[in-house]
Amino acid sequence: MSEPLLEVSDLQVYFPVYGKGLVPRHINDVKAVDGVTFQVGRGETLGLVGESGCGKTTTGLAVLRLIEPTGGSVVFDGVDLSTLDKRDLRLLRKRMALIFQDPYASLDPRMSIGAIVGEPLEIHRLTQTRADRDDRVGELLELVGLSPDYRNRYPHEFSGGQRQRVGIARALATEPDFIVCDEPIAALDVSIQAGIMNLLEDLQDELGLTYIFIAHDLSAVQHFSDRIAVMYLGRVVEVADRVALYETPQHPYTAALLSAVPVPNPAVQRTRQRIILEGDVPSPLNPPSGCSFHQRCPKAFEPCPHVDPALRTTKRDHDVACHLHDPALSGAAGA
Amino acid sequence: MSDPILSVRDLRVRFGTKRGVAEVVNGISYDLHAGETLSIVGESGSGKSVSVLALMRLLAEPPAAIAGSVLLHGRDLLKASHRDMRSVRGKDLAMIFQDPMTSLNPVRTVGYQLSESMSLHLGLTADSARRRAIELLDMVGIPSPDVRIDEYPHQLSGGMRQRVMIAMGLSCDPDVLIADEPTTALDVTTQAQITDLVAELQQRIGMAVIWITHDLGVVAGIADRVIVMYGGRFMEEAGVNDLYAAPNHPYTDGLLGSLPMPGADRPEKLVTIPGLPPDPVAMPPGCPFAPRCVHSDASRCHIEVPVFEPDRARHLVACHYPLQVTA
Repeated sequence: MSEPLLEVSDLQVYFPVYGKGLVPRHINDVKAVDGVTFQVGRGETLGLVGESGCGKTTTGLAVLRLIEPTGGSVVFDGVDLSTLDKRDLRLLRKRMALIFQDPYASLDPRMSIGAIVGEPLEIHRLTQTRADRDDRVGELLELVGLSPDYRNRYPHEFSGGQRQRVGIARALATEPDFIVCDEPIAALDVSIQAGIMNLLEDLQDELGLTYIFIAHDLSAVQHFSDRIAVMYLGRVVEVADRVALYETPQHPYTAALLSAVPVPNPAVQRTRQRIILEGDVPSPLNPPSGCSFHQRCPKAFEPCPHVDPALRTTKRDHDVACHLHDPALSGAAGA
Repeated sequence: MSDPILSVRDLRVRFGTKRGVAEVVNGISYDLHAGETLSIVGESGSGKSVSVLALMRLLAEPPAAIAGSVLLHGRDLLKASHRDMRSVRGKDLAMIFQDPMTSLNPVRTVGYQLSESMSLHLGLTADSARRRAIELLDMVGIPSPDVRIDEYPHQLSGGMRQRVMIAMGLSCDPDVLIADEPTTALDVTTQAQITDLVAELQQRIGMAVIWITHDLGVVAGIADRVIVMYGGRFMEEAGVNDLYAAPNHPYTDGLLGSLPMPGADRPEKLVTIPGLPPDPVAMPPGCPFAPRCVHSDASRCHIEVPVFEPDRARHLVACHYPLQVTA
């Protein structure tokens, strides 16, 4: 990993749950993100994968402080975001952007493409005159492979893939160095997905962008990322280089997740060993004691229901939160 | 080969819309044999879901206009009365839908919804239908089925709801189970549970399955035969190994190339298919894929619709210039 642009430590996002009654009492928290730590190097892509409800999107939003974190810190280029007031945060936000999952919901249907892509320019006062703004919008549309003439048209006139390109152009308007891509291809058809992934890759090369790429599609994440963090129930359970994660997954959950990814090759798909997990992901309202994965883990042993495993580095650039890889305990595993 | 259970011939579905007539399914024909898994693959708008809704007679007519024939055990379903169709649906032909949240009734218990078709088709009493419902829930792997049977859909997870849908589909031992993107709304680990479950139940009960999906990874694991659909037409039909090893249609080839392969080697770039799927209200005159195809030529592809050449019995391709790949 290169020098980190973003350092997230022990990030927590809790959503309070209130009881009934005249004066609702705070009775519990949904621990959507519960102690997440990772770094993203400059110019790097960190993939964030996990199943629905694991907290990957909440993590992405909390990193941008679009959701106020409950605890922990997010340091962007040496500045701790939690210490900033509104004005300073807004200045820094110019350098960060977000690409949304659903290109149908993330574009205002009553705004023209030009107004959508030009809005960040106005907010941050990056262009002085109307003509300047139009020129810049045209440039941005060309950058994402759309015709500058589209600026007078409206979102409903475009296909899903084209709308996602508009969303990308809007994200690029302030010339950010860091973009959170929240499932940018999940809502698109297969033949369109490849085009968007290629575009994001080209833009990264051209503009030196740093990405967090959030997705549940492991094949896409693997294709796109340099390093990958796997999340389960609000925690990062494993972080590794894309090749190491695929070839030598250390956490039993990562191994199960990888084995469940369908491979578009009948010979491979029908013969490989798959690890089928039992049951469902537990509720983040009442996460299990100890390791939150222990009830579904095929390799759980004595300490797992009692002790919460910490994320520790087991190999170079490979971190895992699992007792199986704790040298002090691994003898007891009998694996 | 034995006689097919289901024979679809020249099925066409059109919808009258404000903008004109939408030609959604444009003459598809296929046979389904007992115990077989046939996968129909296509992107959104390819007509794959509409084609099975049409054969189940679940489309309102009008706006839909359906033509062709659908023979189930030799009887044409498209000519059957609504009353006859009620006795076919759920009993001979069962269907599981994509989104188990919207296709289960939120104000009825799981048990009620499961028993409904069994009392209708099998004439079971309330007690025996309930006993059978518990058995079915157990068979699809729902823990403590005797408790779950009195719960409502919102009390179940997405994976469990899909299991309930499957239990409903299987409740009257159908000959054909039609699964319309049953795992698309689910996470990969749950998806793996569900595909394994259907395969196992299929072996046990011996039904034929039509599995509709856009996911070529899932298809690779479950299908015996695969049909690739585009613009309301079949582009290619082959045994699953042939299709992946030697795609003959440029569209199939493009789809396979656009998929990131899980694995350590990263290709330089993913293959992209330029352009957009055709508008069903303004279908191109020739091959529906011609406007996006790198091999297309103006004199033929844009004018003449290619059809399956019957001489290549096991691997059919609707293309004037099929790719010469051999397995």
